[in-house]
Amino acid sequence: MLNKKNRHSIIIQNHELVYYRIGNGEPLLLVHGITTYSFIWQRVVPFLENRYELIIVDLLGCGDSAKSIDVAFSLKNHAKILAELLEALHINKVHLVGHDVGGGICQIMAVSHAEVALSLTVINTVAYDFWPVQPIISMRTPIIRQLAMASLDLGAFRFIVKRGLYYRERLTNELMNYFWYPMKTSAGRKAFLHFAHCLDNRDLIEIVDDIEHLQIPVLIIRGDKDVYLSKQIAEKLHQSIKGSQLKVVATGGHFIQEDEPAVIARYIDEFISV
Amino acid sequence: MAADKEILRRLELRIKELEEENNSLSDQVEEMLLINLINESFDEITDEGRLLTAVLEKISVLKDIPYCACFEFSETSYNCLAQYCSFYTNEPCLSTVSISGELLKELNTQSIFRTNLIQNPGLVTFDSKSAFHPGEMLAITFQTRALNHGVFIFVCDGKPSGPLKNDLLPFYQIIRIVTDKWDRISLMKELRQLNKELEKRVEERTNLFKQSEEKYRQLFDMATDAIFLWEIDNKGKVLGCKEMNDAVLKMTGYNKDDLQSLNLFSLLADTYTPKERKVFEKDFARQSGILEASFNTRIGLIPLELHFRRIKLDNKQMVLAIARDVSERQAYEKQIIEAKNKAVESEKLKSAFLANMSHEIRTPMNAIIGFSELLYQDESMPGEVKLYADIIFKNSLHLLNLINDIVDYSKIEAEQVTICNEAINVNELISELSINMISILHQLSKSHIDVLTHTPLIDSEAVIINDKTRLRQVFTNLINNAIKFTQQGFIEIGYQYNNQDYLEFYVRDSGIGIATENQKKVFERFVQVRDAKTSSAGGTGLGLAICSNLVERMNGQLCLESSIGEGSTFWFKLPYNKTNES
Repeated sequence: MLNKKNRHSIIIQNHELVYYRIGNGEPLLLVHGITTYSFIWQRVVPFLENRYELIIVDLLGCGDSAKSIDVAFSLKNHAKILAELLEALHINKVHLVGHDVGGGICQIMAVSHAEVALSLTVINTVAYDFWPVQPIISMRTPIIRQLAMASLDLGAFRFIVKRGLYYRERLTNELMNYFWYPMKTSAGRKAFLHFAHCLDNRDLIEIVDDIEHLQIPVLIIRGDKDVYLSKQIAEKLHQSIKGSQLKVVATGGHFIQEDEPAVIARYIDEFISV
Repeated sequence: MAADKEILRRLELRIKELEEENNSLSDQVEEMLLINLINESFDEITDEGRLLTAVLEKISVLKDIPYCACFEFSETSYNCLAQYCSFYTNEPCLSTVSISGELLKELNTQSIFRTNLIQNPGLVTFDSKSAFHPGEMLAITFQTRALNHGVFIFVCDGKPSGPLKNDLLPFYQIIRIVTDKWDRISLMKELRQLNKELEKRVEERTNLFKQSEEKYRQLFDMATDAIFLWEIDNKGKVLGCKEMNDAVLKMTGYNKDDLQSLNLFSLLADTYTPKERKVFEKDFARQSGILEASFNTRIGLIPLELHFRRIKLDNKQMVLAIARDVSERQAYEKQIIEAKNKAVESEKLKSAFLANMSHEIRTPMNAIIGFSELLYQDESMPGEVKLYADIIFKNSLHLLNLINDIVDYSKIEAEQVTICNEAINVNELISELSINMISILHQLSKSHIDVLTHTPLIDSEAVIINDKTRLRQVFTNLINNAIKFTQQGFIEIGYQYNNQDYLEFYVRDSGIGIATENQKKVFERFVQVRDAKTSSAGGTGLGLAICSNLVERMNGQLCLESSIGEGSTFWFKLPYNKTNES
């Protein structure tokens, strides 16, 4: 778990947002995806904290941040909230690092709040409409369906997490407890489902052109064994964004931060240092 | 071209069919999953509130129904038991839902009610602050052990294609599962309550029992009588003592280990014959009774009175026996019997005494009255007058002695005699007594009897501390008896000193003697040994009894050695301390 002494919170859009501020150096904003929260970076932090200042957030509705469902949990709004956070913290320039839908949020930030972005790193990210959410919130949508089940049943959740790992034996009870922690309360479950329901790939379709013309360095990391997001996302991003780098980790699942933290940290460090 | 179009159209149709089939299969799988999930997650729930909240949340999430609630209702009122609203952040939901009288009426008449709230907006109204726009509504009533009228209400949002299908079987299934579980919970609650009450009652009873047991245990242990619980077999044979109180140890010295496998009757005193033992055992085999027998114990042979009663305990034949040491009682009984015999004897003696006294008193009185009368008539000769006066005088003396004796003995009986200690020179006393004796013998014309004295201590050492008057009285009495029953020979008075702490005084004569069988009796009151030789001796029969009592009071004991025809020696020891002499 991230050290509590680095834990802070701030009120943004009338809701409490929890974040961690760790290390010294150029600032890195680490944004998690769905089913996780700040803890997903815990194994990556030790490799980066000596060279960078890490800003690790719990997105609204996730981790310890506010669970109100009267706020839109769309990627666009998350991007807006994070931009407000950076402004409040007086951080003018930041390297954006996003995982899963966090990658989508970072893409939007890089486009909509380009002034703050030094670089963009997306890890097992969503992009385009190559991800299994549809504008109509139909419960038939497999991923939403699975997430709904997972919010209610520890076994179903464990199944999702396990499939997301390359090294499946690493799913200890302790790690599972981190994943399950927000699902223990009704408010946590509601916020999680609200988060899932708010996902809309139109948010990313809108910025397709802008993404392809990004002026900042872009790094795309792909866990080769990610069963949830298509390989095509990473490949198409890499092809479309001129000068972007693509790193494929053969031993990485969807939750690649747990599988190969050192590798990811090295890639990020090398990418930023150049 | 047209053919191609036709093929394409068919293919599209086929795809649509397959999609529908796929959707239908998905629905079935989802419903199975839902039911399974609901069923599984109930295991650890023990409270109907939590049960309802959990199930409502699952239905809402998995069937995408924003508002799910459970109410209890009557014809005019309703009460929300649990609700889940996906459109509010916090639980319990802040939303307040109003149910119209019209809907209540419907619920009271039909078990399932389905409508669209867009067309009938007044049936259920939501808090105006809510952003929720109700659409289709489904209400299914139910009943459990604890709730007569319950209803589950599901409200979808106003989207055109709501999740409520025509097939309501999954809802029924879920509701059945919930009501079953609810019943189980209420049953468990009732059971727990009953169990609690039972435990409480058991505890109360146990406490009462403990108190009672403690009380009886205290009684059992505090009892001064020994209490045993003997186990016996079907034939009445004693197998051993299974329980006993502290008094057993105190009374017999035996402990539980000693008596555990012992037959009670093996402890019977050795003096009992086999026949007597059999009788005891036979008595003991009765339902209840009392035995009195002597038993061998560690402390010795003790007579016990055994109260016993047969009881059944744990399917075993037991004999509860309470034993009391009756040695004291027996001794007391013996004393009473002796005292009674003595009283009877005393009564007899008193009658004899009275008879005797009337004779003894009347004889001198007759003489006194008769001769006084003769003197009064003044017709006697001068010589006769002297003779008569002498007779009157002697008879009066005799009478006086008699009365003195009676008075003395009365005093002794009434314990009014006090001993006044003083220094007595016994040599002087014996000398005085011997002189008196010579005088009396002379008067009685018995001067031929020799008077002897024995005083071995020198005068300065012959001093004892005692009551002189009483000692003299004892001697005088013994001497008078000696004179009375001695016709010839000697009478000796004196004492012996054997370098011990007492002097042994005695009066010995060579008189008629006393038969061995009468020797004890002579010290008793009103006893006179009478036979042909002594019939003329006279006396009250009190003399020796008085002497014996007085000697006892002077810390001695009067004893007698005698044989018929050879004379008698009365002797007694009195304390003597040589250093006290001065």
